[in-house]
Amino acid sequence: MIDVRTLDKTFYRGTPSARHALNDVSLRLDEGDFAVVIGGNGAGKSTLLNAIAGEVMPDAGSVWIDETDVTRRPPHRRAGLISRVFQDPLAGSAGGMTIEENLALALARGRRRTLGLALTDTRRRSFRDAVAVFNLGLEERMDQKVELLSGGQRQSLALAMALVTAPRVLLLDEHCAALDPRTAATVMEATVDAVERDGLTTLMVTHNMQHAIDHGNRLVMMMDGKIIFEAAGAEKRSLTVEALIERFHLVDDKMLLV
Amino acid sequence: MGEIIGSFLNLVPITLLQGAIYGFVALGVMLPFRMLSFPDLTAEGSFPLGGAVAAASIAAGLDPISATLLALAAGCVAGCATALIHLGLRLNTLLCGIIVLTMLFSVNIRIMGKPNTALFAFDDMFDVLLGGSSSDLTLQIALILGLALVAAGLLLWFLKTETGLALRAVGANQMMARAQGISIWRQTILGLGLAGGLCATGGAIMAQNQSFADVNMGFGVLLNGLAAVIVGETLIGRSTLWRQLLAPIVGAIAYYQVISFALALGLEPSDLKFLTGAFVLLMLALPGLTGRREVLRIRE
Repeated sequence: MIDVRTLDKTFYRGTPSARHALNDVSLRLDEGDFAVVIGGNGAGKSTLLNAIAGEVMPDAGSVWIDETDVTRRPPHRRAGLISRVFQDPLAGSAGGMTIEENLALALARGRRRTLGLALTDTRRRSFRDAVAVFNLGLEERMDQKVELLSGGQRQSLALAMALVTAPRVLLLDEHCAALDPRTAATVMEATVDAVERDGLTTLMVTHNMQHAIDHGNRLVMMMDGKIIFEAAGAEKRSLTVEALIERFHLVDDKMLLV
Repeated sequence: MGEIIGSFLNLVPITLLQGAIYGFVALGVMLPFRMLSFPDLTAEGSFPLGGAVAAASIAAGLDPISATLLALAAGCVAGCATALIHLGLRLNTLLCGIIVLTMLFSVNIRIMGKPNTALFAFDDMFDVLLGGSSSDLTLQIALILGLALVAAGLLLWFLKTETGLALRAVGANQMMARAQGISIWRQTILGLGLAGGLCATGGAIMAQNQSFADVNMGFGVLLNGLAAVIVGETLIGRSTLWRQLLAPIVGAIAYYQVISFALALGLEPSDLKFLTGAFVLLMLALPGLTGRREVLRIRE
């Protein structure tokens, strides 16, 4: 499904501030896998995600989705395969456009955009249903500009936008990190529901150890641009926060794992 | 005082017509600024380009309607050129506009074969569309205002289509647009092309209205357009898409009324560029001084 092969990326190569963000990283996710990537700041988690999304062009290695090499495809040409939710709630939607217009934008992801009206009655109804699951009252504000929403509401919308087309791959970039704990829990719950319901192949980056333990069937830990630990299945289920902290304090006591 | 009011009132019909013509330009200035967050200066070159193409082709015997459509197409090309320079070379948006508008100066003289072309001897679009009453100022105003409103209506419809939504998304948030599968290239070219076409249409109508095209007719037109957009947005706001699209036309008409009042007060036409500049400057500075959000959002 997702096959990341020996990816390598150095930022600011050849300068004193050169940073080896991805060091020979390989990772394979099968259909329906839900992998959680954890690691400290600068571990390479976001670079990995950006390389899969196409925002970062690797120096070496390749990215395959559905047995297709997409390494050289710009982000907008792989968007039909990939849905993405960013960490920043403002980043995932267009503030000056309404809730339903944003969902209409997402609905056309990966196909040719027509000169037909973006909002039809049928679409409006299905968009209302898509945001009603969050219980935030978004369905009553469909024609309001997104810039009027709170961070949690906007992130919920971003998630709804990511799910509106049933993507092949879902990329979540610390998408609950900027939210207050209660909203984060709601958005996380909605995420897990959707991933399980649709069997989405998902890669989620998080700082939150508990989320990493609670969710997903795969766990990937990164440090200094490398994958240093992987767990799946029964091993993943038996992990605890304490065990991980104990284990990785030994590796690097600077690692921020809260 | 009565004399001032009198000369202002005398100017009203002609400034209404001018305002309606500049409504096209204001629409063409608004589109890149507001919808693409792309401050585009090409208007300064595409407006006289439209005049030059229309005048040269009418003088060469083409019918005025086709000549105006040809001018529109030429403006689209000019807008696309600015977009391609920005996208291909990653040059600053303002610089791209300056390069294109400067180059267009030479192009416009080449098109006409000389710095200006007179059309007094030819039928223009007003003669074709209004027939015997082509010199009736009221009918002229109705015609041009009607055309400007049709253009705004078509633009409103376009911006509500799937493609139009994509164009607006590019102006709002490029990273998000890419993540939704939107090509920044395609939408930027499309938006600037449309804007160039609108400005050139304004130039073509202006040339036919005054019966001549001049290579210098574009000087200051961008700032006039911008001032019109700001006036319009102040008057009717931009909270919804149709307000945003009506604002340039309302603003252009209001702006030219203010201009004519300034003239009635005894100012020289040559003073107006300074006044327009000062006005735009003031409007741009006000939000900053009063702590409100910025008037123009600009991308890199």
